[in-house]
Order: sequence, then C-alpha cells, then structure tokens
Amino acid sequence: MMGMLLAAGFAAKIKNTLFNFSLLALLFFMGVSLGKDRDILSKIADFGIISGIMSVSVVIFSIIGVLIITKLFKKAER
Amino acid sequence: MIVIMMIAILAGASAAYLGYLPEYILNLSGSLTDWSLILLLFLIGFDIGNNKQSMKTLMSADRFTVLVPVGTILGTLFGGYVVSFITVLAPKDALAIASGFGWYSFSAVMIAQVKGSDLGAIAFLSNVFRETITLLCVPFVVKYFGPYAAVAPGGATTMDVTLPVIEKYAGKRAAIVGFVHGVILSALAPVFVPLFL
Repeated sequence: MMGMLLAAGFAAKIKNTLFNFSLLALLFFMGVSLGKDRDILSKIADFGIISGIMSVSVVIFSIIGVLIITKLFKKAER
Repeated sequence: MIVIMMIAILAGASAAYLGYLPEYILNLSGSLTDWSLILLLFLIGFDIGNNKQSMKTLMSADRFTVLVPVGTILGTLFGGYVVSFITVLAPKDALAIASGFGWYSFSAVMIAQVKGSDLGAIAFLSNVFRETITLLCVPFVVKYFGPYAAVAPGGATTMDVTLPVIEKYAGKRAAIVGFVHGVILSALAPVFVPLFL
C-alpha cells in the first residue's frame, strides 16, 4: 500500500539501500548459523548434490508443465 | 550482487566457524535476523505496490501471460515433490524450496528462519543453480520446445536477470510473457513459501 502511495525517486533510493542492507544482514546471519555448526564441512557436499537435483528437477518439470498447459489450451480452443 | 550475497554468507559462516565473532553477536543473531526479515518483507510489499508499469503490462497482456505462469507453478511444485522421493528432503520442505521459484535471496532467508540454516543453504543453492541453468538452457529450450517453454525455467527471475536471454533467443512476445511471468511468480513466492513451512 505504501509503495502505491509514495512517489519514486528519494523513496526508491532509501528503499534500495534498506533492501540491500537487510538482505545482506540476513544472509550474513544465515552464514553465522551455518558456521556455528561444527559438522558444516561434511554437510557441504550433500547440500550441493541435493540442490543440483532440486534445480534440474524443477527446471525440467516447469518446462513440461508449460508445454502441457499450452497444448491443452490450444486443443480446447479448436 | 550475487557475488556480494555469497560473500556475505561465506563471511558469516567463516567468522562463526573460526570463532571470530563475540558471544553477544552470536546470541543476538536470532533477533537481528527477525528484524531484518520483517524489514525485507515490508520492502518486498513496497516494491510490488510501487511497480505500476508491471501492473499495466499485466492487465494488457494476452492469455499466454496467465497460462505460462500456471504451467510453471504446477511443474515447479511437482518437480519439487519428485525430489522428496530421491533425496532426504521431506515433501513439505522440498515444496517450500521449489516455491522460491528461483528467488534465492528471499526463499533462503525465509526458509532458514523457520526451518534452520541447513535447509536455507539448500534453498539458496538450488535457486541459484536454477537461475544459472536457465541462462544456459534457454537457447536449447527455444529450439526444441518453443518460445513459451523457454520462459518456464527462469521462474521469478524472468522479470530481471534472465529476461535479456529470453528476449534474445525467444523473441519480444515471449519477453513480454516472461516479464509478466516474473512479476506474478515474484508476487506469489512470498505466499507459497510460508504455505509449505
């Protein structure tokens, strides 16, 4: 709501600075939480493998999802 | 920006692991994270409300601008669910990670806050990988599956980072669909991620 009411320019500059600050603070403290874990080094490879599988899976199935839905819509149009 | 974000995570992890941070910062990290997250969510709402051009494009777009995001959401969630059978992730956790739709900064911090930093790190990496895979695979997807299918892998990033690649290889029409697709998914990620946490 505030975004709709306030004008661009100065507000946008403050917003961008605050956004970047809060984002970097959050990521830093996420890193702190990771670093507090003494087993972190042994977990890193697992994180990478799971993340790789997740990203490949969502990319493949999102393409399939769009192909199916656009084909269904084209068939229904005919 | 992504390099700075990675440096922020690595700096935090290294400092805590090597014991460079004083005890009071480690104790305060929970409440500092809470306040940063509240500020971030407020600014995300601000940004969505402030983006009048996106709203105009959204209203004037054709049927594919609605169909493609629906296909992407369904496919992404199904893809996330499939991963829970292959890996150690619980179905709800896998769905929460998938519903970041490539928005690594937001989904990672949100998931880390509720489910812990391990899952947050997986969310961050998988969404970064999704963006990278998109940048690499768009030309092939356009060639074999058509321009609209090339919009899907990018998720929420099709309104910014991956938009130039989509425009170059899939054309202007797909770029308009891609932009609206990114706006819709960026607006829905803050709704979907908490839904599965």
